[in-house]
Amino acid sequence: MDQTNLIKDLLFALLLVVLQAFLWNNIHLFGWVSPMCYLIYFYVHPSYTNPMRLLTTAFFMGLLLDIWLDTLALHALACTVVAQSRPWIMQLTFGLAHEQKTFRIHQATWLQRMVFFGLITLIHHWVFFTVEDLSWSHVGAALWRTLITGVATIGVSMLLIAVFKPAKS
Amino acid sequence: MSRLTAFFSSNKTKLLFGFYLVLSLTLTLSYQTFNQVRLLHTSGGIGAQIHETTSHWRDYFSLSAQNEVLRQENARLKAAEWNQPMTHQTYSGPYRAKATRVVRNTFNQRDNYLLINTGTKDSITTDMGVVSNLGLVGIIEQTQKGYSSVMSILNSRSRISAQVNRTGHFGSLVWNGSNHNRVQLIDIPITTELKKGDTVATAGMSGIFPEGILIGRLMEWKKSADQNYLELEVALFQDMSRVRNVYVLQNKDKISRDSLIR
Repeated sequence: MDQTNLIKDLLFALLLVVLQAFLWNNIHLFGWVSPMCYLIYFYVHPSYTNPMRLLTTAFFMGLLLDIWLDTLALHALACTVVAQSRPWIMQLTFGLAHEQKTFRIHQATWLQRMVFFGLITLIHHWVFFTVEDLSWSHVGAALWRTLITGVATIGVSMLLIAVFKPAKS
Repeated sequence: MSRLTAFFSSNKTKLLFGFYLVLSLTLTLSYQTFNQVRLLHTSGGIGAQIHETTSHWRDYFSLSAQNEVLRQENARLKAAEWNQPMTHQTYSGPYRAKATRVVRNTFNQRDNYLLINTGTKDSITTDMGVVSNLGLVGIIEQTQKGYSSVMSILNSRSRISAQVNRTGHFGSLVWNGSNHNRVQLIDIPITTELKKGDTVATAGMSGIFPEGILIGRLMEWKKSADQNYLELEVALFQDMSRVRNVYVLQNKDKISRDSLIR
């Protein structure tokens, strides 16, 4: 990733954090469910970049959100886990195709993209809500919140991705 | 040495992942373990002012709804005033109310807090009760000069004495974390004859809240795990996702009262 792309990437991460803090976190579906659409970052991030850079950006993106939303370091933790598991999720979803430098996510099938973003969301939410509750007696509640918030995140995010997808060349 | 360098070089991503993982877990668990107040810690200073600014704009767009709420409250107070005997018009009880505004409110986490824009400069101290015109909101947990954090009743550590108004039986009000519109009243004697729709209010045992501040309506109940008590499911009158204007209750007799209890 060259210098220009790095700055673009960081600005995009910052934009998603701001949108999450000011917009998506103020959406309360069913009265309490707020979609975490900033996970789009992990969806659009190029597959061939340095994994250490992705880890660092993910950690600080999460931490920035934690400071704003008063969520301790839960977003930072969940984002770190997602950043680390992303290559494995890509391998599982797209096979070896994602290792090619010419690979673009919007060229994959609709189902593959859905599964990819779904796994990112579920891993993130499961870590987030489990550590937040941190009690065996609340495992069921954590799973329930993972599922409901996950459905909201996937629904709203896929809608945004469909609206803002790059034009076909 | 070269082996060590090679090890770090080949595992640098895993090591960085481990570092960030431990750092974020430490940050999270240290606060959870010591039950430190989160809202003022992370949102103090500049953060609290940003929250206040955004809250100000949000309030601006909900002025009409807020006016309606205040108008209804005014009507209730007027009705209460007109129905009181003349001799009771001057209130001489120990509680004073300080009107304030919520600048930040969480309600969809396991431990929820509110941030209000009054603090030590307004004589706000810890363990003061916070109520809205519709009912109970929480207890002041930490104060700064211009802001205070309130432990919401939607918090796993919250325990407030409350009673069933019709029978007078009292227990502890807690939250199980599953629904932000429902709280649980536990430790109610099993012999209590309950009716669906009974109102639940504060019991006034701790001196934080006066007796009779409405909390919610009884929806259902079941026996506790040890079969000796009842656990009541209470639907809150105050929608905790829409708390804007609240009152901090100052009990001028609390210090002398607490010294007697000790």
